[in-house]
Amino acid sequence: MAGNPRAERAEAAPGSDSPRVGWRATLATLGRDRSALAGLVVVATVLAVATVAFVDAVVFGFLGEFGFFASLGVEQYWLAKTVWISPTAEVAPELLPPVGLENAFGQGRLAHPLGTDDRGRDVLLRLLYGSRVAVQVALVATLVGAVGGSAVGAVAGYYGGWVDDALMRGVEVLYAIPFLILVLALLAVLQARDSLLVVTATVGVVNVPEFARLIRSRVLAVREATYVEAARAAGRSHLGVVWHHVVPNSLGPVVVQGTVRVGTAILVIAALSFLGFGVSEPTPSWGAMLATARDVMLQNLWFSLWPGLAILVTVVGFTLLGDGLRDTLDPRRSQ
Amino acid sequence: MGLTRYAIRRLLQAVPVVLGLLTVTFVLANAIPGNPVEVMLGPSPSLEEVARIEARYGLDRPLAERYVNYLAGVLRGDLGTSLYFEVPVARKIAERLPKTLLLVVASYAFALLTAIPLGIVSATRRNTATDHVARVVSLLGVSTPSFWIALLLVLIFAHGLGWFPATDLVLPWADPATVDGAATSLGVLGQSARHLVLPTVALGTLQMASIARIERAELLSALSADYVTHARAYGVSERRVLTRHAFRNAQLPVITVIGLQLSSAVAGAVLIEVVFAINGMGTLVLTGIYNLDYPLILGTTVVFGTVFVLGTILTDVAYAWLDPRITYGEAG
Repeated sequence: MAGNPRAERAEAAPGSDSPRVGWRATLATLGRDRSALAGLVVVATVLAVATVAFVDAVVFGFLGEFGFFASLGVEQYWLAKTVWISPTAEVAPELLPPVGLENAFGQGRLAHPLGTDDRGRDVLLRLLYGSRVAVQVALVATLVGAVGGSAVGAVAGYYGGWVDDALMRGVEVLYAIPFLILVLALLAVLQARDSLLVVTATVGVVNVPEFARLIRSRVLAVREATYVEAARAAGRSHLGVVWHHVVPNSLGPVVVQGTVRVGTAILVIAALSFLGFGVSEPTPSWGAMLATARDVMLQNLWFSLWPGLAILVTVVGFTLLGDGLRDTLDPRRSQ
Repeated sequence: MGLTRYAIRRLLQAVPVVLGLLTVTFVLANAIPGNPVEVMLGPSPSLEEVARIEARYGLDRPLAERYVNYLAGVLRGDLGTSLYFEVPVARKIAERLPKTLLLVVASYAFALLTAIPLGIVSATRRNTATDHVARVVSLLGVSTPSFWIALLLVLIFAHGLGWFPATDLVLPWADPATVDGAATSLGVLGQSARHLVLPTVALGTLQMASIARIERAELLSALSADYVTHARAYGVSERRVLTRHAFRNAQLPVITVIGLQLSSAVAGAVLIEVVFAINGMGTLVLTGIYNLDYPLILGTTVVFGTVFVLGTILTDVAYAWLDPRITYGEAG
């Protein structure tokens, strides 16, 4: 982070009011920012691993239910089984330590580089496949929150008056319940403790207020701008003004906020699966792995390390990328 | 408009929010598909038993009547009777709330005491080794799940080194007779502090890191503002520039973040209570959810929500107090 170029850039253009930088320019600027680049690499790696896991666990699992694909030998975790072992296969004695270490259950083996969990399943493979739950829920939930929140915020901010009051009071009520409590209450009400879909939807809804507030404040600023007045005078409809002027001017902050929120959502999902919500055995997820690790903490402390590290690295990646994007897309808020 | 009037106005504005909160939680709790009576009596209870229990908890009344009764009850401080514990929810919450509040307040104290110096040092010694360390610490802090920090702390400092206990909290005003290893009130205080260390650090790290990050960013932008350059040009010392000019102006966004962190502090408290097996509000909510105890879910959510709304108002008032530009709400 030494000699950070973004600091100088931020000073060079402190009042720049145009977040509309081309994607190529954005990437080029990101490439000169070492910490943002590191974030990008981490995010890309996690996304790649999660995509493979998604295809292998979800897509192949789905296809395997059809006769044609089943006859080709396609089934859930087909890829993992072909290359190595299934993430749900119980193969080794319980709780093996990582390679080269020893514990009460024996010595670590090369076949299980990071050891095994309490059911003798390979920790490394479950760690890799666990990324799927985190990434899938976080991406979709953030998208839901960003789109829903932006719509609410844009309408509230642009129309003002009672529309604004009504919408923002609603958002405030949603905001007044601490998010984890709200998600837990919703999951209990819907009796969907291990439905990933419901977890995704509720985390998405909980994300709405933040984006609504963000966009509303941007819209309030843009609404009074001369070019909006000009567009109105030129006969553009309210919706047209919102779509052509307000939305493009607010996209930067939404992308920045979205990137950071994906990281936060990963923490929320980890917390939920740690408490036993969202995923059920044998689906691998980082939070659930930590819940198991807690129970066997004294027998195999290594097991407590890996899932936490995986969460940490992933969230650091999204945070660094978000910070970098903030500097390029939203110069006024940088550093 | 004066600050007091602004505070009163904000409090009045909170009334519809709390009413909305009560309505939302009521609707949520009554939409629970599972029959709570079944949870209490087990499968296949006799019809008389079901009728008796439903009458006792008012579950046989129409929904609208239950809603009105519920609102009237809340005004009297009555949150209904827990189906699982079979005692008034308000009593259960009164029992559990102090530990959670103690935990949250302690974690905020820890966060503020560490984050503000960290942010200041980071901003004033920008791009030095100290700054880099501070930035890495706050980056890791915002990215680490609090319950994992809690697990590691328990592993190292409770099981490994044995410095601090691994479970529960002791209230500082507890009766010495009920506390292990404490004969006097002073002993209780010591035990309380020992129990508080690990959960506080685990919960406060996220707040600390978020506040430090915003403190650094805001202080940096304040230090490069025109009025600071102006003050420097007049020969004002760097220390005075920081304390008299930059610091106060930089605190506004910091206060916003402190307010926003309240939600994650509460969420974090639930997880930390689980890891440390603390009998607080968080474990109470989970008990309610696992057992479909809807008066309990309702009551705890409302209390959490109200605490949170009050916290938001407090930050708004602090914001207005610090920022002379705010006109305490524009017309309309």
